[in-house]
Amino acid sequence: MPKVLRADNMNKCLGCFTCMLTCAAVNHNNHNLAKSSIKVKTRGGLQSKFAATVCVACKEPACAEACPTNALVKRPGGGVKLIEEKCIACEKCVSACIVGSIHMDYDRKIPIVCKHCGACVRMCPHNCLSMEEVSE
Amino acid sequence: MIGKDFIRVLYIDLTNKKADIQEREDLYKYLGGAGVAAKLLEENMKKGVDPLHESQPLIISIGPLSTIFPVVTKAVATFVSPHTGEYGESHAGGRLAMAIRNAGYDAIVITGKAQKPTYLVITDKNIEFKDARAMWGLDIEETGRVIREREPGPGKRSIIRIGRAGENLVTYSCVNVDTYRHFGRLGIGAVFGSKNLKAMMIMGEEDLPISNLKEYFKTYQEIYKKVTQTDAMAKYHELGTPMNIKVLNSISSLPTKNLLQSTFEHADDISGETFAEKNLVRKVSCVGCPIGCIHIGQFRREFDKGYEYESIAVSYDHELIYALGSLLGIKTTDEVLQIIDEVELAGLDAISTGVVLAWATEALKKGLISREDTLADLEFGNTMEYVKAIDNIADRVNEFYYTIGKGLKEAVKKYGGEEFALLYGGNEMAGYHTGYAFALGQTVGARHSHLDNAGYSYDQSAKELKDEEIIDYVINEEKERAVLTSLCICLFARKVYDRSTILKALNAVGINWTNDDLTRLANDVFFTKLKIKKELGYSLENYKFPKRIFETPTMWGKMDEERLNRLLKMYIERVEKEYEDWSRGK
Amino acid sequence: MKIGVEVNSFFSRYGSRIGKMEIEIDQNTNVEKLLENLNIPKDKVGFVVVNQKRVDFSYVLSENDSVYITPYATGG
Repeated sequence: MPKVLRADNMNKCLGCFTCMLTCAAVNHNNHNLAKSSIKVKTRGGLQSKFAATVCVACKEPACAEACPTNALVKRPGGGVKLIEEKCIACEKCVSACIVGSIHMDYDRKIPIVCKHCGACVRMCPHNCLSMEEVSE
Repeated sequence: MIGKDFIRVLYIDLTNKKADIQEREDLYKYLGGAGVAAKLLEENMKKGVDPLHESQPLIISIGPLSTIFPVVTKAVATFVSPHTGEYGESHAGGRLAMAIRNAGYDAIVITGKAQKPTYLVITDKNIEFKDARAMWGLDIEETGRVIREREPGPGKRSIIRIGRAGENLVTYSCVNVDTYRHFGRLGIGAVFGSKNLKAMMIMGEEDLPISNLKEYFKTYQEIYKKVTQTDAMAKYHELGTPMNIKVLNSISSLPTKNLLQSTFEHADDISGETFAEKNLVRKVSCVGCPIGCIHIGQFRREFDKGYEYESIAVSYDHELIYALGSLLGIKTTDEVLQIIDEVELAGLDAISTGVVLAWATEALKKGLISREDTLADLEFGNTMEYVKAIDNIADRVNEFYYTIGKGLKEAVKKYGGEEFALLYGGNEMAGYHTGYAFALGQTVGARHSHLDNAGYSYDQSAKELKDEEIIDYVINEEKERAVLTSLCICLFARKVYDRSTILKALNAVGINWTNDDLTRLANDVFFTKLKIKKELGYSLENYKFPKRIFETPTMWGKMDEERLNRLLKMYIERVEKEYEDWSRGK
Repeated sequence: MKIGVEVNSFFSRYGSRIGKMEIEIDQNTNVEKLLENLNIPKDKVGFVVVNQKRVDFSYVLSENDSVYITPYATGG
C-alpha cells in the first residue's frame, strides 16, 4: 500500500530542523534548508509551538489541476509527482496549493514538491512525523 | 565557504552605511569559529583605545561544518571586552549559524557607529541599514516581535538583539539570540549598544550544492547515531544541566548565598528534578541539533488583585539556577524563573548579574553600601527586591548602580569588599565550587569562562588532586576546545566529536586535514588568543584570588591560598615558555 | 538492615532502580554490592554520598544510612 507523510505530533517538535536539512540534502543535493519541501516554523515567535507545513497528499491535487503542461501527475495514495522536463516554471502550482506546501527553487527553476519519500520521518529525533499507509 | 578554500568575510561599516566582501584565503588555515574570529579581532582591534570606541570591531564567525553536521550549532563572537578590558569571546546557538551559512558568509566584521539606532538586515541578496529608533528602549521580547513582523522569512531567520542594559552600556549586558540563546558574557551587549546597533536579522537562500552526497550523508548519519544513541548526550535532553544542582549540592560544591555556603538547604526545592516536575513545558533545540537541551519553564504570575494572572515561559539552565537561585538564597522554582525573566528582558548576563547582586547583598549588610545606594532591601531569598535591583542595574539609575553596572572588578575599587567579590580573572564566577582546577581554570581561561577548560570536570573525576596533572589538564583541555570551537561544535557534543570523527566530517566535505593539522590549529588558536590578551594589556602578575573562595569548603575541603597561587605561578611559567616557542616558530 | 537510597533518574536508561526508596540489605554490604543490586553500572557513577559524605566503592553500609547515587555534574 502506498504511504504518505503525516506531521501529526508537532507538539513535541524541538525545532531542530533535521527534517529540513535531510530533505534538502537527500532530495535536492543542497545544504540550504530553503530547498526543503517540509517547512517547520513557529506559530508566532519562539515562545509558541512549532508547526510543519507538509504536502497533505490530496486525492484531488489542486496543484496538478492548475499546471498547464501536465508536469504534475497524481501519485498513488495522494499527492503528485513532478516531471521536470515538462515544467515551464509558471508558478501556478505554488498559489494553487491551499496549505502552502509548494515553493519555487529559483536556482533550478522548478517547484519543490514533496515526494513522500519518508527521509524526514526517519531522521526526526522526537517522533513528530510518520508515514501513514493509505488506499490507492 | 563550503567547497572553497577561503573564508568569505562580510565587512560592515556602520558609520558610512557601507559593506565590503573579501575572500580570505589566508584565514582558511584557522578553519572558522574561534580561530577565524580571533584572527579577525587581532587585525581589526585598536590597542590603547576604549573597548566601546566606535573604531573597535565586533566579529561573528561560523565554521565549515556549521549546521550541516549534527550539533555543529554555534556561532562565535569576538570583541574587545568592556567588562575586562581585554579579549572578549562568546558563543551562541539558536538559528544564527544556519542563517549566516544560508546568507552565504563565513564571518561578519562590524566597525563604526551608526548615526542613529539601527538594525541590520543581512540576506544572501541584500544588506540593509534600517531605522531602529522606535525600538530603542524596547525589551528583548518586543524587539524580536517587531522585527519578526516587519521582515520576511519566518522560520529560517535569526534575530539577535540587545535590551536596555546593552543600550545603556552595562558591561555585562548580553545579546539575545533567537529568544532562548545568548551571546552572554563579557559585555557584547554594550559593544552593540555603543555602535547604536539594536539588532540584526540574518537569513538567506544561498545555493549550497553538496559535492559528494553519498559520503556526506553517510558520515552525517554515523554522527547522528552517535549523538542520539550515546548516553553522554542524553542527560542534556532529559533534565538538562539543571541536574547539576542536586549533584553539586550533594558534594558540597554548590555556591550558595554569595558562597557563604557550598550546600543549600533548599537545593531540592530548586533542583532540576523539581523544575521538571513543576515548571517544564517543552524542550527546544538549536538548529541542527537533535538533542534539544533548551528547557523551557513556565510559571504563573499574579499581576493584580481579582485573580489576574499572566503566564511566563523562560529557558532555564544550571548556571541560571545557581546565579539567580542558590547564590541569592532563592527557595522556589517560580521565584527563580521570575528573576530569570527580569534578567532576560533587560538583556543582562545571568551569571554576572547574580554574582553582582550577591555581593551587593553582603556589602549592604556589612555597611559598605547603604539603602540609599541600593534603593532595595537586598536580602538573600528576597526575590522582589532583586527584581527591582535588576531593573536598576539595566537603567543605571544612580551612581551606585552605574558603578556596579561595570562589574565587581570596578565596584570593589570604589566600595571595597573584594574579599567576597566572586571574581576569577576579572569575570564573575560560574556555578561550580569544586576545587583547584575550576578556580585556576576560570582564571586563566582565554575568555574567563568555566567552559574554556572545564576545570570542574577534572575536580570531580580526579582520584587525587595533583599539581602537575591540574596544569596539564587545564592547558590541554583548552587547546582541544580551541579545535571544537573553531569548528563551532557545541561543547555538549565534545565526546561525540573526538579527533577521528572531526577528521571524518571534514573529509566528507572535501577538507582533507590530518590529525597534525588539528594539533597545529589548537596551538595557533590558543596562543593567538594569548597574544591578543597581552597586546590589550592583560597580565596575571600580582593576581589575587578573593578570600571567600578559601573560606568555604569545596568537595575537597577548603582550598589553600598558597597552593592555588603556586598553581597559578606554575601555569604562567609553563604557558609563557610554550608561548615563546610558538612565537619563534612562526 | 534498612537503608534509604536515592538514585538519580539518569540511571533509568540502564534499567537501574531509580528515585527515593527504602531497601533491605545484608550486613557487610559494601557500596559496590549495592550498585550491583540496583543494576547501576559502576563506570557511569560519579559519586556515592552516604550521610552527606562522599565514599568509595569499598565503603561498608550501616543501618539507616542515607545514600545518594549520582553521575558527575557536567557543563552548562
